[in-house]
This record gives sequence, structure tokens and C-alpha cells, in this order.
Amino acid sequence: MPIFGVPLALIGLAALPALTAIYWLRTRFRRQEVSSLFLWALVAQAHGGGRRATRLQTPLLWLLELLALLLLALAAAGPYIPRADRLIPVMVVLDDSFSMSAMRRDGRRVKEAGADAIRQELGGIGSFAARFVIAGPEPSLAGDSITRLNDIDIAITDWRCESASAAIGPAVALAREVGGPDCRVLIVTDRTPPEDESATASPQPDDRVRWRTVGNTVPNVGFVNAVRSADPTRDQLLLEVTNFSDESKTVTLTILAGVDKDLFRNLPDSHPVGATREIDRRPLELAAFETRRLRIAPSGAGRVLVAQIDDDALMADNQVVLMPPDRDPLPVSVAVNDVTLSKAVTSAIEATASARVGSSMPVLTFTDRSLVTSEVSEGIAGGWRVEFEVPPAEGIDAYLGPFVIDYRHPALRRLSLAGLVRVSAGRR
Amino acid sequence: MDDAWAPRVTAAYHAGLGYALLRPRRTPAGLIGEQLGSGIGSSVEFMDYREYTPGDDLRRVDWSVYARSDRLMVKLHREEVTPHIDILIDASRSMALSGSDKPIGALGLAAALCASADKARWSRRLYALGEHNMLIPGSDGNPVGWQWPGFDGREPLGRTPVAAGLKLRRRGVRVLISDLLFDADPWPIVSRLAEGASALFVVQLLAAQDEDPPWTGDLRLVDIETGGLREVRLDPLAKQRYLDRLRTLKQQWGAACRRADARMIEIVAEELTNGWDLRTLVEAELLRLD
Repeated sequence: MPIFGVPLALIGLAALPALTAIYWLRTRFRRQEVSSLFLWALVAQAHGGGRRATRLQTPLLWLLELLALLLLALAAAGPYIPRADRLIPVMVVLDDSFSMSAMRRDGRRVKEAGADAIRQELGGIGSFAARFVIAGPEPSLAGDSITRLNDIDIAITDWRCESASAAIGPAVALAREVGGPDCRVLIVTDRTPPEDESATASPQPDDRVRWRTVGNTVPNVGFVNAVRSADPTRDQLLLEVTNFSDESKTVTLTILAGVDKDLFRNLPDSHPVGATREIDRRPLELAAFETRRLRIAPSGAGRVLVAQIDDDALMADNQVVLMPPDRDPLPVSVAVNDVTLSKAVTSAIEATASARVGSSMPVLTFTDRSLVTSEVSEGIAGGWRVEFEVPPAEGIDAYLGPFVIDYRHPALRRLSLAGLVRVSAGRR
Repeated sequence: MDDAWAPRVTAAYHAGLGYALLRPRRTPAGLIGEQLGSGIGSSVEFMDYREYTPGDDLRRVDWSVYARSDRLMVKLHREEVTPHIDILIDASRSMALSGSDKPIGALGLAAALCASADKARWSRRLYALGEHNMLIPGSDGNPVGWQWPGFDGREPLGRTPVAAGLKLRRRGVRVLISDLLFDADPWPIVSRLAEGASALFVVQLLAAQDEDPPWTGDLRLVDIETGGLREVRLDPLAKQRYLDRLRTLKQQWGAACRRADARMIEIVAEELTNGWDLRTLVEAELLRLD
């Protein structure tokens, strides 16, 4: 299927009905009564309009003009049929950080400007095969390869700009690895290009890497840290608010007491401030690039607390939701035969201060062996299990991930296996 | 007559009173009347003598000549006749072309001829030619009283039997008023009308737009008689072809008239109705100033 390099030129096709209208108006016949037609017999009959029966007899000139206009419009649109072996590989690195969802001065989101930049760059290339790399904390590929500009919106569906950071360098490295040494790399971000080209992790920096900065500097004040004390007897908040702009800003900090924590846990998609009341409000005057640390003892113990500041260009850092500290330790059991491992596991569990080892009805059991039914019935083990495989000394394989965690279980809700190395003996 | 036409036709009648019909070279004949004819008649006007032949009225024998020469000679007197004119108007629809003065021109010309006939003490009759040839009721009087049937003939004059069923006066003067815009051989028509007539005048009455089409551009021409359509792009070349065709038509009618010893008169209706100047008819020796 042909692709139009300049589809806007197809607007020239509007000239076709215009030409037809001109001909139709010009060849509209006026009625004129005459005494007799026989004197007009030698006058050539006109073609191109009139009664319904003869309207289809269009003049050849009109047809030729229509054909010429059609060809001109198509030629201006630059149709071509891309061949797979002629497509230029392009890897597009998308900055997935929160700042890409900020509002620019012109009222558009940075992300939208980025999408336009992608269209502009790919449209300038002509025949391309583009893949997208989302640069979050960890780079990842998004969607399949596309060859048409119209498919861009679908390809960047996963570009949500909800990452706390954007690792541009690793993303470029991934792009080069996937796209090959000859691919072009387009980086779409709101950052300015680094002066040191090595920051892009490009092994051989060249003109194949193109950096498009689509953001601009706008004032932003946001939370950079928010902690709620784990001590259930003394509820306390630690908030850090930073003014990222080069001018002083005054914002209003508001703390709301939201719904009950259990309700919010059972319905995590519900709004945390559904039934709310304001428990604190204070103005914050921040100097340029100042970070203000606040310690607040709220009166909303046992409830979800929401701290928020005034809206600005970036909404994502204007609100934090703080859960109340857990007061019921999780009943767990440790059924590990290896003494060393058993001590380590027990120490780790106790260090969390969120679990109670030796419960009679554990909901989570750590073990290094197959449990028998009697152990389960006796309460030594029960519920979910974490099994340790103790490999032999020889033939050890290490597995870095990925790991799948079922977060439906309350004990695993906060569990992170980042950095975990799974060791096994040989291939199993 | 159409009330809208009556004032102008009456004006033409009054204009015609300033003229008189000119007796043609061949003496017209008619019923016994008050004008001398070219034949032998019973008037007091002596014309000639001739030998008596059996059957002659003995009352016409000039006995004094017999006494002097012992020969029976019959005294001939000129006849007294009333000259007659038959006016035949083409009643086809083309004569009532919208936007033209053709219908008023035809009826006005007939009225003027009637007035000239009345002035010259000729008898006259007015006929409408078309699918149904007919004598116009009331045409022996003033034009206001004419019961003109209308120009509604759907067939051109050439496609109908010309003057069929009409009792045209022998040795009378006949005048045909028509635009002659039909595709037919003029000779049968001219010869039929000239037969038995002392003189035939064929008046081609055209509208100005017939004579010189003023339009340009794309036209859907509608034949007012047949309803036929033809779409043309009227540019100078097309107009020239039309005028050439019209000139050829006139030449054909002129040739037919010359062959039948008739006179063809070309008149543009709009020029005629603008003051009813009948000098064209005088030049054609149909009328004389009186």
C-alpha cells in the first residue's frame, strides 16, 4: 500500500470538485426559444451539460484537466511504497519521567509536544521502521515496529510519563542494542542535551543520535519526600517541599484526613480523601530552589492523610497520600532446617517490626523443605509459603529475575525482590 | 383579436389607409364591379371589334358597320370588375415567437393591406394557414372585429397542405405572410399559391432575433413549434453558420418566386411595427401611395 510522504498535499484534491463546479456553472445552458431549429442544424451541438440524458457527455478537456489535477495532487503528496530493505531503522527513546506530563507555557503538555516532535522527525526521514524505548528507571521496549506516521499514537500508548526518573543513558544503550549499529536514535525528553556525549551511553557518539528537547522551564513546587512515622503511638509526618524554580514562590500546604485505612486498603482504587476533613493548612514561602522540611503531628490518627499544595505546571508532585502505620504484626512461622538460614530469616523478619514469628496460625511460612500435612494441621506452617532452595556446593546457577509477586496477599504487598539472586543447582 | 394586439393592429390599419393596392401587371379579375378589367365585359367602355361568330349576342352587333361594310362585326366592351386580394397568414407557432413582434407584424401587415384594399375598393379575404386552413371570421370588416384563431399551429407551414380547402379567388392578388422558417422545398408552396393568381407576393416576416441572433454562450434552443431541443455553444463561428443557412433559405425562396413570377418581400417585424412604414411594399409594387 502506498504511503504519502506529504499527506497534507492531498488537500489539492479539493480542486477536483471545484473544477467540476466551474465547468458545471460555465456550461449551464440558458433556455432560448427559437422559431425553428432547422437553421441551427449545421451548428455543432455543444457537449458538457444540459439535460439529464446528455449531462454525462462531458468535454474531453474537462476530463483531461481533472486527470492533470489528480496527478499533480498525488505527485505533491509524494506517494511511495516502502520496501522492507529500504526502511531506515529508527529507535525512539521516550523520557518517561513525571516531568514529561507537565504543562508547557503554551498550554500543551510536554508529552504532546514530544509526540509532535516524533512525527516531525520521522516524517522527515521518509521510509522508516521505528521502535520505541521507554526510558524509566529501567528502559523497556514499547510496542512493535511501525512504518507509518499514523501508527505513532498506538505505538506510544505505554508512554505514560509516570516514572520517578528517566535513565536516558541505559535507554539509548538498549536502543542501540535492539536497533543495531546502523540505526538512528531519537531521544525525546524535556532535558537539555548533556554536554558530555558519553552521558547518552553511546559507545560511538555520532550524528545518528538526535536529541529533541521538547520541554521548557516553568515554575514548579512539589513534594520531594513524605514519610509518616511507623510508631502507631505517635503519629507524625515528615514532609519535604522543594521550589524548583529560580524565583521565590508561596504555596499553601493543606493536610486532609481521608477515609479509614482499612477501607482504602480494601478499595485501593477509591479516592483517599473521599470523606475528608481539613486538619491543617499553612502557607509556605519558598525561596528559589529551596527545600523546606516540615514535621507535623496530625490529628488524623488511623486515617489516610493527604498532603497537597497548590496546582502548578506539574500536578504529579503536588499531592502525597500517607497511610497510617500498621499496628497488627503479621503472624508468620519459620520452618527452616538449616540453622544458619533459619537464624537469618528470623532476624530479617523481626527487623521489619511488622511480623510476629511463632504465631499459632501463621499466614506466611518460610521453609526450606517440603512440608507435611501434619505440620500444617499443627499450625507450624500454613497459608502462603516462601520456600528456600538450598543448592549443593557444585553446579550453581544464578537467576536475576524477573520474579512474579502475587500482591494479593497482604504479606507480599510491600515485598520487593529487586536485587534478589535466585541460586539453583543446575537446570531445573 | 387579442386585446393586447388590437391597438397596434388598428394603428397599422390606419397606416394602410395612406396607401392603395397597386394593380399588378397582369390585370386582376373578379366579380362584376366598378373597375375596368383587362378582359371583355359589359361596361360602356369600348374596347374593340371582332367578327361575329355564331352564338354571339345579336345585341352587340354593330349594325352601322354592317350597313357600311356589309360585314357582321361585334362591338366589344371592357369588362368591369372588382379586384380581389387574398391575404394568407401563417398561423404556426413560430409566428408568435415570444419576445418578438412577429404576431403583431403579421396581423398589422394584413390590416394595412386590408386598409389599402378598402382604399382601392378591392375586395379582400383573410385566411389563416396551418393544420386547419380557414377564412378568418369577421375579416371583411375592421381588424378589431377579426376573430383571429391564434398562432397555435404545431406543424410548420411546409408540412401542411398549403391553402388546401380554401377557395382562393382566381386572378386575384395573393399575399402570403410567413417567416418561411421551415425545412421544405418552397417551389410546391409557391407554385400552388401562384396558380390562377394574377400576382403572388411572398412576404417573409422575420423577427429581429431570427435575422440576427443576439445571444452568445451556451444555449438550449427550444423549437417553439415542435418543442425540439438543441444545445449549442453560440460563438461567432456558429452564428456565421446560422446566417449562412438563413441566407441560403432566402435564396431558395427567391428562386422559387422568380420561377413563379412572384415577388418576395423581406421584412423584419420589429422594423415594421416601429411606425408601420410600408415603403418596402411600395418598392415591391404591391402598394402605391395614395
